Amino acid sequence: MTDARPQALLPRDLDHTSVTDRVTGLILEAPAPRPWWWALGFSLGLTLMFLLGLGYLLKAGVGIFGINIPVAWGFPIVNTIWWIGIAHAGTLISAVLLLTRQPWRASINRLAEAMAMFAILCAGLYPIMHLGRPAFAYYLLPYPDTLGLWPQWRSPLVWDFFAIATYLVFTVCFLYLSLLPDFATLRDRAKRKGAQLFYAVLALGWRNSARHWARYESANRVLALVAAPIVVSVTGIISLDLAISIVPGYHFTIFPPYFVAGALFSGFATVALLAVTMRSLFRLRDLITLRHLDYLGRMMLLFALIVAYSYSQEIFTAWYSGEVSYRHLYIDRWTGPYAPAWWAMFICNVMLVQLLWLRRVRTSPTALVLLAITSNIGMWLERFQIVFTSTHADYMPSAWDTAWPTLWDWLLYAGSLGLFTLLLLIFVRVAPVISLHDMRSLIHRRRPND
Amino acid sequence: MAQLFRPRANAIVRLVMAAFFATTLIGACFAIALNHSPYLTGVGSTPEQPVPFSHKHHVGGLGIDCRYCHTSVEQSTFAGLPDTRTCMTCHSQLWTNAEMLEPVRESLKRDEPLRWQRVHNLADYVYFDHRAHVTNGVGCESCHGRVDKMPLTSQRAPLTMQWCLDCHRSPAPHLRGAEAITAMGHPPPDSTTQRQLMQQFDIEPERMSECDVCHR
Amino acid sequence: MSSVKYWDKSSLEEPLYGKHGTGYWRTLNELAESAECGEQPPGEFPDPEYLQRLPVSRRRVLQLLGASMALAGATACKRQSPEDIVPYVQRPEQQVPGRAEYYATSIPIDGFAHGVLAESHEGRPTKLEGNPDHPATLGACDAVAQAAVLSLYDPDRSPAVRREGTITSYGALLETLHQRQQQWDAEQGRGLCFLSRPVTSPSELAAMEHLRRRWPKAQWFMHDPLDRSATYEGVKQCFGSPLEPVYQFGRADLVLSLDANFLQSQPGALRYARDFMARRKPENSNASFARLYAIESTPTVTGAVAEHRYGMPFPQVEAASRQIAQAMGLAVKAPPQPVLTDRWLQALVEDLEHHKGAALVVPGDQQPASVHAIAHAINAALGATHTLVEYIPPAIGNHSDPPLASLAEAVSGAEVESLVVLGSNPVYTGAADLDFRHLYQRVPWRLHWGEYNDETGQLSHWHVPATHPLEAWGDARAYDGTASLVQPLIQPLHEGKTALQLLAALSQATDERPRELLQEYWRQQSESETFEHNWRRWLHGGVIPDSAPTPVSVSLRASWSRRLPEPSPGAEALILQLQPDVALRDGHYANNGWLQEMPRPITTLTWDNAALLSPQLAKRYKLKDGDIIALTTAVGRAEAPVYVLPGQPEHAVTLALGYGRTYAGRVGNAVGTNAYTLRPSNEPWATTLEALTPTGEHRTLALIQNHHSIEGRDLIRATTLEDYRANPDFAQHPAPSKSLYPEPGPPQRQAEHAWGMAIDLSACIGCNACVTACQAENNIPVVGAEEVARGHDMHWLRVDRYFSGSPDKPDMVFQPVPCMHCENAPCEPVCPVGATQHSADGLNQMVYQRCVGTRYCSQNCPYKVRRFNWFDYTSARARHPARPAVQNPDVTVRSRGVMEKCTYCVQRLNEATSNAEAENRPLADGEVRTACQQSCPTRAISFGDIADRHSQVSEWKSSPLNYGMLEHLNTRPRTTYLAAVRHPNPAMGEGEP
Repeated sequence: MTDARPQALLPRDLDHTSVTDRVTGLILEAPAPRPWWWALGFSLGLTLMFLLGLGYLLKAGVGIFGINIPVAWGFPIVNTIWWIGIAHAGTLISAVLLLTRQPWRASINRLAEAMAMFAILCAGLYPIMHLGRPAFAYYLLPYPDTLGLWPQWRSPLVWDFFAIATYLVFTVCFLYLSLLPDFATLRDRAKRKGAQLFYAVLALGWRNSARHWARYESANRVLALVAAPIVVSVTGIISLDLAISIVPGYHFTIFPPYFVAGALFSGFATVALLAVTMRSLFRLRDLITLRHLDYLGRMMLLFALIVAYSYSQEIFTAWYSGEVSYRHLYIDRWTGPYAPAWWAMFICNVMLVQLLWLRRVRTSPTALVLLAITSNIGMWLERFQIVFTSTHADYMPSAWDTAWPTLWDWLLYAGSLGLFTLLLLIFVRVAPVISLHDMRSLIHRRRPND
Repeated sequence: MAQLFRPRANAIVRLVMAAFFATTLIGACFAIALNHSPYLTGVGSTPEQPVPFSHKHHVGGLGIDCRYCHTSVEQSTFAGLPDTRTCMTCHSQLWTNAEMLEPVRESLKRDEPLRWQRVHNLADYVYFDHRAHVTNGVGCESCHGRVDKMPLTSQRAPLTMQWCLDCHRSPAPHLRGAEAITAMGHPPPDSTTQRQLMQQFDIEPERMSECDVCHR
Repeated sequence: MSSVKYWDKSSLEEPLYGKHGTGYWRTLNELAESAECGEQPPGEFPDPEYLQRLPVSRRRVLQLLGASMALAGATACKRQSPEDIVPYVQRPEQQVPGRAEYYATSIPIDGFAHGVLAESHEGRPTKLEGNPDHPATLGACDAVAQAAVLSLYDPDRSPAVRREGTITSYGALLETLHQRQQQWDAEQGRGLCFLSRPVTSPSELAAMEHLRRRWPKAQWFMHDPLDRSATYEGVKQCFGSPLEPVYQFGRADLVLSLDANFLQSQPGALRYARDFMARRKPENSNASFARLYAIESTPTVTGAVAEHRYGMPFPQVEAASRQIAQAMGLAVKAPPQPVLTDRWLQALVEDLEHHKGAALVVPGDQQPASVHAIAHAINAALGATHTLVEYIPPAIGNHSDPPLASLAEAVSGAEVESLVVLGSNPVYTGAADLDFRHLYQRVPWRLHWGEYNDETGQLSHWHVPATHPLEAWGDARAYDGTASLVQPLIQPLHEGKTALQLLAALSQATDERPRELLQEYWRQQSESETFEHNWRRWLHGGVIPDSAPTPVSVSLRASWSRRLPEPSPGAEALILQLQPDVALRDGHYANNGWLQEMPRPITTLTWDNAALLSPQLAKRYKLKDGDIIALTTAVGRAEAPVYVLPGQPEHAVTLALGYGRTYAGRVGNAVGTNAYTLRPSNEPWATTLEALTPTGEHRTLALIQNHHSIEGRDLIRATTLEDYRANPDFAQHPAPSKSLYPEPGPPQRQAEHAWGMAIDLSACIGCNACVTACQAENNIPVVGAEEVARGHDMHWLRVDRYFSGSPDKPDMVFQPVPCMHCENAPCEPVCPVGATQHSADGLNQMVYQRCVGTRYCSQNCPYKVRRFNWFDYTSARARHPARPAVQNPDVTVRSRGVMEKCTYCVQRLNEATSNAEAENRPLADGEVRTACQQSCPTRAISFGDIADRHSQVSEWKSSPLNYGMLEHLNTRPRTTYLAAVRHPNPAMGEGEP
């Protein structure tokens, strides 16, 4: 597939039956490809490491992380923001693209939603692991306790708590709703009794009746409508965790839009990554076409540019404020102990992505995967340097100190990657990796010239 | 192809869903209720004591003032428990060989203290100050109940933070004159008396609900 | 009087009854009944670890609260665990359960008495504070004295009499002594030797005198690792007899320190610091402002305070003093080559001449006799003798006894049959070339008496545990000779014996009661009929009135300068300078966690003695902080990590004594480098460094402060006196412009008080006494070197130190930083559970039980004064378990995972206000004093009610010098600073130190 001409969203020979056969076949007939088993084993190993790390964390305390006074926030916060970011594109792709009726959405929205779902799970774990007394996380809940106390609504962390919870619930509904018709399909095509029952229960008695479809459509649209504001507010609120404070490097009014853009940037990168892997893993080259990749590449570029702009504004603000500690902050980010992180971030998020101007790069799966990886690394580094450099040298030189991640930081980070992959791998074996009904309607609406 | 489920399966599914939400809700309510329940607050609990000491007899019957035994209640955070000798001041003459007083005599003989069970047991990060209360018009009765009616001493108040705050936020109805601090069955003050008492003890409720009043 | 109460052994736990809440009394009571005591005769050899195993209900509860996920549900809905409540069998008179009592006593440090008031809860000493009536402390209390209370409960203290390592009874010792005595009597004590520590205790000296008379042939030696013989030697050269100089800094307008750290490390330092800094108040314009010149071999707080600090290697100080003496027209030989620049010398001498009668020269204890002699001569020339410096018979009664070296000779000469070591640890503190470890073992019979079964005790036939000052009857003299009594606050926790008891046993082989022994001596000193009355007065006041000797009148011998040695040509070689550690002294306090973790002034180093190198030297050897180097002197070799210290003389390396112990205990063993292994007996304080070789290894130093430049931030405001007089408002920078938003401000609730603090940067000498005081008062855990190195230190109060100027001649400034209790506190709105709230009277409250540990408050605190319990630092499983018995029952012990910080000692505020309320009187100014304020030697901290216009703190805050740190953030700190004012000599040109 090396022709530079953007190829059609759908190959000509594809019709309702064939697409359904192909996709359901992946689940019901075809034995899992060998790489899938390898990936499963590997991610399972990582997940076990994650549980081990978690156990030790609860036993010993958060001191095992490479954090201290002044750098009291570390990897858990970095990872939360990073995972949330990844989750976002998932939701946004399927929602916004649905609302804007983007035809190319059909073959990737399922992946995107699944990814969002599992990314949220990972993201949601960290804030709790980050607490000094995780056993008391429920103090953030408003409930009539015997103390006569309530959470403090002024604190962005409380908003955060609700934002993430809401987002999780929403994603579950959104994903499950779009799965309903496909579960039904699987139920009807399944040969083995067990499979039939399994999917029958999941399908909740879906009968493809016109009424079902009508309700499905409206529900789906409503959720999609809700999606956009949720996405924006969740990242917005998370960025407020930082922006509300008076810490130089946190306290920037540009943070909410900046974080949303960043989130979408890393999110689209991850979708691209998954799209390419799945399409080669399950030979879906004709369903997830180069044109899809092309679009994904464009989105990445768009948001990368917004992110780059935000950097420039941040730097400008720091200089323009005239506040000595803000100015010092940037000098320190460029030359201080954490400078490598900043420059690496700069290369990943600002320089490399410029390659996406070239169609050849956008339509080359390999190039796209590489860029997707660097972009995710870049976005992770961005959060790292925001969290670490800002407090390690703020107002009181006497308190300046550096904190370096420990083995446990890395282990728990890698572990969450494992968990994410594990869930995703299991998902693609039980649910259609491509939204069948969306594909069918796409084929149905196919115009001759297309 | 054959139907996998009978129509009533739908009903079952609905039921399951309903049940799921119901249980979560009820569970939450139960947890909260349990938190306020005597089972956890210990209201009404009557720990077993080495000597079945009866406040009913000593306070209600003989009318001994609380401060005769709980000597430091007006000077210290700790009300104080009578040392063995205090008991023996009377019981060296009265009931000198009553069976139930054996532990007291033992304690004196072997110079080993009695080990009572704490009835009103606050968490140790709560710094309750008896003096601050009894010198500001809060009677023993307000927290410890009608000990003069207790053959065996038991806990009357839930001692939850909510319970403390209720009074700290509006102390007026719980006040009484200095002369009636140890009195039992004292009638609650009427609104005018309440105002007088609030002035007399110059109590500023708006600051009594601050953290470091009880926690340090 | 209750303070004299002395509990009999059968009821070890008696004083501990009746405590509400914390459950200490209950647990110590369990201790008395627990197995390790029960099996044995009462009170005999309790297991030294028992104090650590004591469960404390409060801590149990807190741990449950914080313990783990598994307990999450359980802790949320858990009933209070049942609790015993145990009254007395008979309550002690006048004792009110739940209220602290205070007793005056004294803590001997390096032999000299520090008068203290000991706070006692139901008979448990928990805190030491300075005794305002004691001349040496005047209410202040340094870190070493503060920490004594922790040592009292040190489970590693020697619990029992040991014979060749195995536990035996005191009776067995007495039998042996009885036999030995007959033999000693027979030979008038030939072959019997005594090695004692410096002793100021009158009664102890009398008892020793008794033994001297009884066995005239017995030899007595005195071993002081912090050798002060040069002090007496120098005075002797000038005035003919060895005397102790006592300085009157209160009368000095100008002071020159010849390598004397008189503000922190010399006997009387607390008093000296108070007197001297009181002469440096910029506010009162009529009084003059004392100026300080410091010539020193290692940067110290004294040098940091000095207007003009001249750093030079140790041996050159003598040359410098010769230069000064000569310039002042004294007949001394000039040094081969001058060390002071002419300009500096000239400016200094002119200043000295100009302040004749009010100028004072102070020689350093460690400097050789010649420097002392010259200093006293200069003082005489300046007319300071008898006015600014008085000479009294040394408080150390046995100062004239021959030193350890002589004992070593005697031993190698096989003259020593039996050796009694009294409270000294020569095996560890002996100079390397004496190799006392081996010599000691050649003595046929060795008895050791000391608080710890230390290096010497291990090698002795007999080891007798000594009592801790807080469980002993005794007495001691202060730097100025004032005698004061040492009274016990608790019955000995182990089988400890007081010095008098041991000396009595040596003379008559009987076990006397320590109190009678002491009274016996003092009864002879006063008229018998008034004695009982006096005794009570002395115990109550903590000081024996008019017991200070009257100053001896002296006159300078004409021949003084002829006794001076030939001036030695200053060698270019590297010099190794040893110095007493400001926290561990000679190493005696090595097992004290508070002291190990006390940031050493200037370096802020904890848990280690680094080799201090000048930046130039470090650059030449390509060394940075933490690189391990090997140091070789004529007598030994040792490895130590490097700390690069600006202001350190280029050709001198400094190492502190007192580290590298092997038998100090669990806390102090193998901490740092044993500097004694490098120490020659003839050059105890400075010797040529034959080799300095980098080993290539590295170790992260446990530093409290990692960044040393102030980066041009407007945190510390300072100026010269002239400038201040000309422009008093220099510290008043334009206030931050008005906010566009409504100010959250302090709560609208009206409050009776408004608490505030002001810290006078002119007065702060950076000694860190406040840090340890805070640790003692607020149950602050000890976390250990690894944690400190990771930035997990827990001190609520830190003393920031910044360098400025050139690396070789830096200026140093100190700034104590507690919680600012901002009226508009950034930490408050960000806490999701409202665990930190503002009180109407202006406290920024921290509620540990509500904290879930998001650490957002710390992130948002611009002053970074909040501390977090990263691990479980307090339970018995912790690396350095908290000692339940020493903890302040009025302060919660924090569990893992919660934030904590300075509370302005809210427990004291609450108690004082409720006392005032109960007594229906207004709270007097100065009635509440925070722990840091209380301990400060120079009264640099003022705390009180800023709503009261006449309170001291209000006056301070109304001074033009008053300013708030980082005010432009609109935090409105309640803790403010008085800008530092110095008084440099204008004649001292630019570029001069």
